[in-house]
Amino acid sequence: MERKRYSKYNRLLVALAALIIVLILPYVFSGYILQIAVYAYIYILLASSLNLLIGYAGIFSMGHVGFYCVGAYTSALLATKLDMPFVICFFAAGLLAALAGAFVGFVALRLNDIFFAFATMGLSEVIRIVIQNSDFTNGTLGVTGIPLPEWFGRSMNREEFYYLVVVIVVIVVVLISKLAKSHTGRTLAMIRDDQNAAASLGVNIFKYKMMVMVLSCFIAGLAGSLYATFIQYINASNFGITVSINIIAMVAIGGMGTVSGPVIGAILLQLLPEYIRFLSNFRQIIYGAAIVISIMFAPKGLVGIRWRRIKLIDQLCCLFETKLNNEES
Amino acid sequence: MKKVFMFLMVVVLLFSIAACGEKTSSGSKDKIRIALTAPLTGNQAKYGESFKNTVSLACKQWNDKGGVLGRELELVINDSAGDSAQAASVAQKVVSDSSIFAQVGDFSAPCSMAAQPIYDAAKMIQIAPTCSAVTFARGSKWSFQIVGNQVLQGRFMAQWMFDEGVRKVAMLYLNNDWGVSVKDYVGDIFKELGGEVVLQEPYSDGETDFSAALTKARDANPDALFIASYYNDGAAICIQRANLGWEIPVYNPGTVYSPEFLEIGGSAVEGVLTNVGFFPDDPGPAAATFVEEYKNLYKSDPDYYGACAYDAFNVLVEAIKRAGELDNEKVREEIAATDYEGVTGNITFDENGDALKTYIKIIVKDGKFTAYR
Repeated sequence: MERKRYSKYNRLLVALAALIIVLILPYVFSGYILQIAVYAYIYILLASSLNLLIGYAGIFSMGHVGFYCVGAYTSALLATKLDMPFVICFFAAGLLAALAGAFVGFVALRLNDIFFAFATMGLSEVIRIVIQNSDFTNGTLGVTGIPLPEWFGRSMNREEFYYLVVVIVVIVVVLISKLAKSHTGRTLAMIRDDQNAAASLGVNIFKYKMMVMVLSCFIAGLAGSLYATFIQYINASNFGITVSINIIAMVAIGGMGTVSGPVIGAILLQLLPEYIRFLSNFRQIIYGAAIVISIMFAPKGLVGIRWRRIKLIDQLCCLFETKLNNEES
Repeated sequence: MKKVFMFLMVVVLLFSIAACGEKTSSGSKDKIRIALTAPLTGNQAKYGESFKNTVSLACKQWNDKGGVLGRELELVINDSAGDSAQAASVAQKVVSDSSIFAQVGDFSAPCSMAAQPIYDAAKMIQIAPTCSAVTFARGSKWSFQIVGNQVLQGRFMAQWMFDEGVRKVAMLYLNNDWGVSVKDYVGDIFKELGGEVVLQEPYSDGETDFSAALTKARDANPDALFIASYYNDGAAICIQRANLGWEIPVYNPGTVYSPEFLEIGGSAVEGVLTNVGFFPDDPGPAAATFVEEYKNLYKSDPDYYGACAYDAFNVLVEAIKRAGELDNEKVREEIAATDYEGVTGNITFDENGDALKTYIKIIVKDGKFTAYR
């Protein structure tokens, strides 16, 4: 089977199928699945934004959770203390996180590779500890009673909020894929692959890195706002270093530098712990094993696997395609 | 495209497995199903295990007596891993299952409070046995807690220290929601009483070297040291205090009341003063049977938190019994009107849903917790 067979028609069909699944989900399944789905979508935003840094620009940040935290707290505090409408909270969250990103970037982007990773890791912990110890953010007690957004004069219900999150995620992912194919995206890839070569061609490396850093943090801030609004209670302990590592795992397992990789990674890693919840303590082992196996056997992530090399899958796909093609003709 | 297709297949499969799981779990209509949410994995797993043991025991005891309202009780145990996002998903799972009547849990305040809006919206009773955060119970009319809130506990410890002649206290505290509020309430009330807080030094979760903080505390020259910690850090701090050769009365909140505290601390925790609402060596009639049955079943001593969970379950089932039917509004009213002799002492609730408790003073003596004086 050669690649030509995967026509635009097929792609469209798959996209449509995905959309239908996503749209009917709240009607078919319970609030529990809805809850996990919203978490997964929020993690898509986080993983995709981190992928901008790691996958496209080659900047290894281990402090992504810090910007997520800034976004969540901005949104939560604006909504609870100043009764701001959701739209303002949402964009303010993104902007403040972007500002924090610009600051961190300005200080830390001069560092290379591993030093940048450590610097961001440290800074994200600093952000968390400052929030945890400041009275303004309600300290260790966290922010309670964050309202769901209002529309048509009433509070949104969880299903409506689900669709709002879906819309936001789709917009962000589409924009990221556009960016990746743009001139800027290609420049970033060049910086990632060979910084010196890019510099010799007159690319202002620092400017591009700052730009992608600010953009990435903006998206993380938006994700934070959605999280705070959805869960209605946030606490600084939600934003520990493990969240950063989780997001990195999603990008790594899904596939760095691809649009679909982080999406797949986020959904999978968000669902996996739920499915093996009943295994109690063994859960951690299975989760760890899944990460190790995928790194050993699929270093380019799930989207990098050549599924067709696996015979059974190849046969199944052939079967499906012939059927599709028959229907088409 | 094939990758995307494969992925879609997997997603559909995963979601449908979940859906199947839910349907099968909500089958039995003749049983009264009650959810227990606890951190069975993660850092707080020890407490989660204790919750699971005691509540399972309580459930078994009710069923041996023929259940309640002529129906058998069934526990649905969920793991929140001590993570508030997971606690919220678990709460969604619980409220989505129409066969579950009420919920006991979670262990920590952030988990209980993340789950609260979900139970509140679903009008499901949520009894968090050990959530001592002042803002919790008043957050929803459906929320109750058993351990007593931090204002009451803080007042008890502060008063005790003051009565012992302590006028200057140094405090080390775990820098999380719980530690900070313990420090605040104990410290504020101690100052109100006329004492002086000479040092308040935080430490982070996972820290293992307390020598700097202890030296600082010693230099402040207090009459007593107050440590707001869980049992593991508490024991470590006591050991390092002993290594420094610093002899000083040590006060701890009830969180250190656990066999592990004695095991880890050894001779270093000798003389530590703490409080509990429940004390197996000096139990009331209700506690005596509980301790005996627990020891028979699990071959270990129950801890205070487990005992709170045990009481939480019993308070709930007693309320169901008094209400005479499974109506959440009626059962809620009955819980609010509770006057129950539990293993952690007498339990009544104030208008917010905070339990009003009495506490027992205890001291570590000869490697054992002993009643004080």
